[in-house]
Order: sequence, then structure tokens, then C-alpha cells
Amino acid sequence: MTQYLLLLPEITLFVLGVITFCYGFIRRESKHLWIFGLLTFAVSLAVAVVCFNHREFSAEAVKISEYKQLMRVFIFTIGLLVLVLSYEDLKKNVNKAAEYFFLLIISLFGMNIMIVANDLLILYLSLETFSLALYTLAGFYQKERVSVEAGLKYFILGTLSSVLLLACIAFLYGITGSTSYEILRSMKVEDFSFSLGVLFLVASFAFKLSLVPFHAWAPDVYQGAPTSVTAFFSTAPKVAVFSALINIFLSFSLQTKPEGLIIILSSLSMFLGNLLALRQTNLKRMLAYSSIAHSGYMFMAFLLSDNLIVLSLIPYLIVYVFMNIGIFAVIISIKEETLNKYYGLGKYNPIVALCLIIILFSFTGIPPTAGFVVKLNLFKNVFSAGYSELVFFALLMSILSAFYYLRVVFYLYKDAPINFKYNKNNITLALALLCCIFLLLVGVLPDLILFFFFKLW
Amino acid sequence: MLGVKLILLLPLIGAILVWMIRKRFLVNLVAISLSLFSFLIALFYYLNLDRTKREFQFIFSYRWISAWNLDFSVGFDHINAPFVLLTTLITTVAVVLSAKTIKEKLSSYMALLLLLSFFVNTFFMSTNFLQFFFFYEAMLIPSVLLIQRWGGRNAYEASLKFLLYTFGFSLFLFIAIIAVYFYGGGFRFDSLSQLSLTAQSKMLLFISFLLAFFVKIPIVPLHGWLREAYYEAPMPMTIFMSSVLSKMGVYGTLRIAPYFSDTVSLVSNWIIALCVFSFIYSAFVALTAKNTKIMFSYMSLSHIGMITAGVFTGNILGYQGTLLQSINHGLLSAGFFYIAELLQRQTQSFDSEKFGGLSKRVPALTFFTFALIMAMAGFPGLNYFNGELLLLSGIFKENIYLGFFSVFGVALGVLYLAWFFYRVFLRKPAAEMSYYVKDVSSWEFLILLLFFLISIYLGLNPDFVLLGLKNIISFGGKV
Repeated sequence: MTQYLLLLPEITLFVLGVITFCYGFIRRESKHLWIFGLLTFAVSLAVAVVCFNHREFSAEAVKISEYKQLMRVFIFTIGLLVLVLSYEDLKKNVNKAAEYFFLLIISLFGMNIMIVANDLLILYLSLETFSLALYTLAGFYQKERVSVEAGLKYFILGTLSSVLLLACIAFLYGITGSTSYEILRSMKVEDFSFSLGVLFLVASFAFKLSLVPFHAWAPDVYQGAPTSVTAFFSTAPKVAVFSALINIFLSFSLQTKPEGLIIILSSLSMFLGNLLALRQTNLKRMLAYSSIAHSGYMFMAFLLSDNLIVLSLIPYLIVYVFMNIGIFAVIISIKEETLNKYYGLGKYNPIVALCLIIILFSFTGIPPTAGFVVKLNLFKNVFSAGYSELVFFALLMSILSAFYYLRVVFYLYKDAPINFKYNKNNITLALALLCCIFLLLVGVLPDLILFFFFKLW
Repeated sequence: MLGVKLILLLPLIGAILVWMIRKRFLVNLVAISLSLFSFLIALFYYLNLDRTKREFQFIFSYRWISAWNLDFSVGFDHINAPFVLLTTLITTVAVVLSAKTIKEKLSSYMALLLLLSFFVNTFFMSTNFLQFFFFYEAMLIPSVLLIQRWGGRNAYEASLKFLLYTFGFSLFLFIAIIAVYFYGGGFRFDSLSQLSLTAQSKMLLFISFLLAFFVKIPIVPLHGWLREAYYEAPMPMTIFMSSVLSKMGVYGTLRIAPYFSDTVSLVSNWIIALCVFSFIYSAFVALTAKNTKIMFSYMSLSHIGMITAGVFTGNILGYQGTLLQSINHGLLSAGFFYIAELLQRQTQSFDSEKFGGLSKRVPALTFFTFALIMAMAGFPGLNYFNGELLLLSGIFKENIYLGFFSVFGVALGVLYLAWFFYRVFLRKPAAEMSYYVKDVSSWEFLILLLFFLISIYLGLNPDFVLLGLKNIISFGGKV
């Protein structure tokens, strides 16, 4: 029975999700569906918080440690925030709300399982579970060409990633006869099939993290998908995949780390992501490239040894999620994504402009915002591990990023086109403000985020 | 230690208050009174500073980042105290000037200006490298927004350039600080003395520090942002930039130089040569400028070059000269920009060719301008003389040829100022714009008088800034 208790939050989520779907399916136009959706997430979040336990549990295929529970809580929080973000999108498409909720819930379910998985097969199943839901979400606006195109592109490239993961599992199973994470520790570098397996594994995950050269899907999908879905894309899957990758890397012994591969992937992503973002005119597309670059920064953390990975990656991930949710909240609240529509926003909607400024400065990594703190934390650790050239390169690239982020800040105070109407939306605006407050608070008091993990280890 | 905190907190509280109050009169009242209070408190602590001690005094510290064993701590010592005093004084002047000249969105403007003052003060008073870097960068946000939103026609390009230059080169500071943490075992300033590095790596570290500071100061090959940023910024911001923000870099070099005395002695000639080149080059550019604001920008750039050279002479004379002259330069360049602003406000023109014959129309303004020019030219008894003497003797002691070139630069400095004075105040017949210029009003008179009195006071009593410095700083045995 205790095994099931471990997964209580996920089970709650799933059961409530099915109930929500059935209710929404039967009563299409109902406004109560919203309450059902919110309740689903809130209750599972509450269960996850209540179940928070400082001990380590291990069942066969599932292992739960302290930071995994934290990530689980975090994933639920993201789900809740995205649900709030999608309120505006769904008002237009009320009759599809049931499907939307269900897909969101199923994908979160998959991500949670992915975080706690301790077996490659479970990992694969959970990856497929949330990927399938995400493909559908990307093409959620069936009547819009770009949305369908985005979904299709994501689907085709995503399948490739799944196949790679399967190949990796096959190789590892072939050598050891087991799919558990535990066997990874006994591996040796000389084994060619093992190296090949790790290569496939990293490649497969690099797809989901949109690392260069596996990034081709990201810009189109980010631009084509509904904005709230893009917000979801840029945050939750990254958290889940990074956590799963952390679990796998923690089970590696130090010598078997694919060092060169990590350096190449991360530096390429930083370089191309930042370079291609420079000339974008669509904010969502620009954010796609920026997320490629940020994945590159975060991927550097895997060069570190055991607990340092968690200490430097997870704070970055949390701050990154809040920055993304914040900026997509801004985009949704004024309903414009092309950059020239942001001219003069500072005059007509000063609060939104203020939020956007704080978030963009945080993306750039200028204090006193949270972006600086986590960047410093990550870079400091990577530097101490002896990769000073890589840190130098990353810093150079983050200067490049200053140009395209802060360009937007300057647009806010240019002269606005005449007869231009800005939308106002209080719910998403409140969300954006919340993210800003979080970013400033963490920026001023870094202990909130750093010490928390420091204590954990 | 409530008081030291107040120096920082008053501008911060002011920024928040001003942002919430939207009434023009109240905004002015709050901003002026709080910045003035902050100045008075800084002065009080300055006078109570124990000049025989080497370490930080009046420390206020608060556990900041436990994960890195780091405190947020502010304190005074013999190097940063004059800079804090200068910052609070110039903030007050800039706020008073802004209250009169900024027409639109005053409350957000004042909030940003006070926030900037808070960041810069905390930067100067910080006692560890991380805090130092944190506020070194944080100050970019308000200053860039100030230039961009209240600046002139090309403010967009100017602020972007300023931002990219400073942020870009701060990457060297970032790397340097991480290296200090890694090799010196902590973020404290004295970690620099425990570096376990080879001479070559130490040189690299030193150069990366310098690259960051030299952009902020700036020194000539890295001064690309200066002309536009100074010209396009609103005048109070220009004053703040030239007299306080440029000192951030100087303060940084002053802070690290004693720890690198062996490294400095290897490269001092080259760096001094660069600084002196910056001094002379900008003086020539200032000589060609007809626009008063541009001329004063280049004047500021020119003099700051020689001031920076003093740090690298590796002897106490140059070091003292840099500290003293930074304060003097801050006062005088603020004064000059103030005069340019006075002329521009009444005529909408910075073009010195359009003035002339002002000396009879506006005697008080003529007097103060001439006094400032005399001070800047190094007239004994006024403040600039002492610092220049120290700097020149420091440079001469290090290298006699470079000393000769610096004297040449000083002469050039007199030349363009005299020319400016002739064109605007003496030349006859007067051009049309002169008829619109009125003499200084009462509050302007007070500010100019304040500059003049401080100039005389520091001229007669340079020990006010330097007291006790000689006994404390050492450069690896060299005096």
C-alpha cells in the first residue's frame, strides 16, 4: 500500500482529471468547468505539499527523494499558473475547454512520473505520455494553419527523439540485462555500446530541451502554438526533462560523464540561440531562441559533480520558469506578439511596461533581479570545476543577449502608432506582477532560493 | 549603527515615496529634503571617521547569502568615504536642478534618480566584491532608463551604446570576481592579498579588472559611449554621470591597486602612457568642440585620464593625487555642466558661437565661471591645484617623459577653457543669443556659491580628503 501512497499526488491528479474531463464532455458550455480545473490542480498541489517528506523512498521502478518532491510541487505550481494564463484563450474556445484541461492534466501527470522514475522504461513511458499530450496542444487551434503546422512539426521531430531514447534503452539493456538506473553506476567508459547509449540518451533529451542542433522545432512551435500553450512548452517540459536528466546523471559515476558532448551542445546552443534571437521581430519567436540559449546555460551544469548539479541547476530552472511565465503573461495580457506593437506601451500601460522591464532585465541577468543571482551561482560553480573558458564564452553570449532583450525595453518608450488600442486583462496582469515580485525578491534576497537547496544537501 | 544605514536608506525611501506621490510640489520637497539629509548624515560620519585605522568603520552588516557565507555589509574607510560624500552632495545638486528643469513625468524621474543614488552609494560603501559587482551592474538599470526616457533626440542609440559598453565589459569584472572567490577563498576585498596564483595569472586578473573599470571611467580607446551618452542625457544626469559614475571606475582601481603592487610595477609605464594619451587626445578633441556640452564632456574625459594615471604610479603621491583629484573633478565638472545648462535653459542652445559679450550683462555668472576656470586650470589656493601637484609629482617620479607629456596636457586644458571663456563671455560684438541670457537667480547663485566655497575650502585644506592616508597605504615597500 505504501508504494501507492508515494504516488498519491499523481493519482489524485489523474482521477480528478478524468472527472473534470467527463464533466466537461457532458456539459460543454458550462462555466463550472473552470472551477473543476482549478480544483484539480489545487487539490493535487495540496496533496503534494502535505506528502512532502524528508526521507527517501524507493520502490522498484520509482524512487522519491527530497528534491524530487520539490520538483513535483513545482510542476503542479506551473500547471496552476498555466491554467490561469489560459483563461483568456479558452474564453474564445469554450467548447474545447474539456479537451484542453484533460491534455494539460495528462501531460503534467506524465512529467511527474518522469521526475520520480527510477527505471528507463518508466522514463520512456512517461516521456511518451506527456509528449503525445503536448503534440496535440501545439496544434490546438485546428482552424489556424500555423498552429496545425506547429503541432505536426513538433510531432515528427518528437517521434525521432522517442526513437532515440528507445535505442538508448535497447543498448543499455543489451549490455546489462536491466533497465534500472542503478546499473548505470557500474558502467565503464571503454564500453563502446555504453557510450553509444549515452549519446542517444543525450540526443533524445536534447530534442526536448531544444538544444542546438536539435532545436529546429522550437521557433515554429513557440510561434504557432496558442500563447498559453507556449508558456507551458517553455517551462514544464524543461523542468521535467532536466530533473530526469539530473536523476540519470546522479547515477553515473564521475568518469563516465560525456564531457565533450555537454560542452559542445551547451556552447552551440548559447551561440546559435543568442545569435538568431538578435533579429527576430516576433516576441514569441525571440523567446524561443532565448529559451534555446538558456537551455544551453543550464546544460553546462551537468559538467559539475553530484550535488553541485542540483545546487546550480534547480535554482536557475525555478527562476527561468518564473521569468517565462511572467513574460507570457504580459504577452497574453496585451495580446500582441509582434515587437513593433510594443512601441509606446510605457505610456498607455505603465504597469505592464514595468513588469516587462523587470522580467527582461532578469533575462539579461542584471542585478538586482533573480536572473543575475542564479547566473552567478551557476557560472561560479562551473568556473570552480575548472571550465573557465566555457564560462567566459557563456558570459560573452549573455552580453549578446543583452542587445535583444533590452531593445524591447527601449521600444516601450518610443512613440506609439496613432489609434492603437491596448488590451487590458487583470488576471494575467496580476500573474505577471506576481512573477516580477518573485524575481525582485529573489534578486535582493538570494538566500530564499539558494540556501533552501544548500540546506537540502 | 542606524546612521550609516540611513545614508543608503533615505534615497531608497525617497524613491518609493516619490513614485507614489504624484504631486509636483511634494515630489520636489521629499526628494530635495531626503537627499540633503543623506548628505548631512554622510558628512557627520565622515567627520567622525577614525583616520588612523585601516579597516572599515561604522559597519552595518546583515546576513545576505548564507550559501556563500556572505554578508550584506556597508562601511566607511579612508578610501570610500570621500566618494560617498561626493555622491550624496552631487545627488542633492542634481535633484535640485531636476526639480527646476524636468518638465514631464517628474515623479518617475525623481524615483529613478534617487534609486540610482542608492545603488551608487551602496556600491561605494560595500565591503565585499560580490556586493560591489551587484551594485556596479544594478546602477545600469536606472541610469539607462533615465538617459533613454528623458534624453534628447538620439537618446535611444546613446543609452543602448552606454548599456552595451558597460554591461559588455563588466563580463571581465564578473570573471575576475569569480576568480578571486575561487583562488582567494572568499568575496572579501582582502582575499586579493591571499591569491594563490602565478605572476602571469595575476596579471591576467589585474587586466580583466582594469578592462571593466576603464570602460566605466572611461579611458580613451574604450570611450565610444561617452560622447552620445553625455550629450543626449538630461543635464542633471550628465552631471551625475561625469562627476559620480565615472568615479566608480576610479574607485575600483583605487581599491584593487594596492593589492597588485608587484603587478603594477611591471606594467605601470604602459598604463600611465595610455592614461596620459587619453588625457591629451581628449584635450585636443575638446579644443575643436564648439558645442559647450560636448566640450565639457571631453574636458571631463580628459582630466579623468590623468586622474586614473595616478593610481598606477606605484607611489603614495600619485595615489593621494587620484583620491583628492577625483573629488575635485567631481565638483568642478558638475559646476561646468551646471553653467552650460544655465546658458542652454534660457537660449535653447549649446553653441558657444552664438554667445558673446556676456561679461557685462551677467557679472555674477561671469565671476563664477571664471572662478571655476581658474580652479580647473590649477590656480593655487583653489582645489584643483593640490591634486594636480600630487598627480604630476607622482607621474614625474615614475617616468620623467610621461610627466612632461602630462604637463603639456595641463596646458592644453587651460587653452580650451580660456577659449570657451573668450567666446562666450568676452568676445565682441555679442551674438544674438546673449540678449536672452539673464543673470543667475537666487537658488542658482546659492549652488554656484556652494561650489565656489567648497573649491576654496578644499584648496586650502586638502587634508580634509587625504588625512591620514599616507600612514595607511603601502605599495610593497615603495613610498
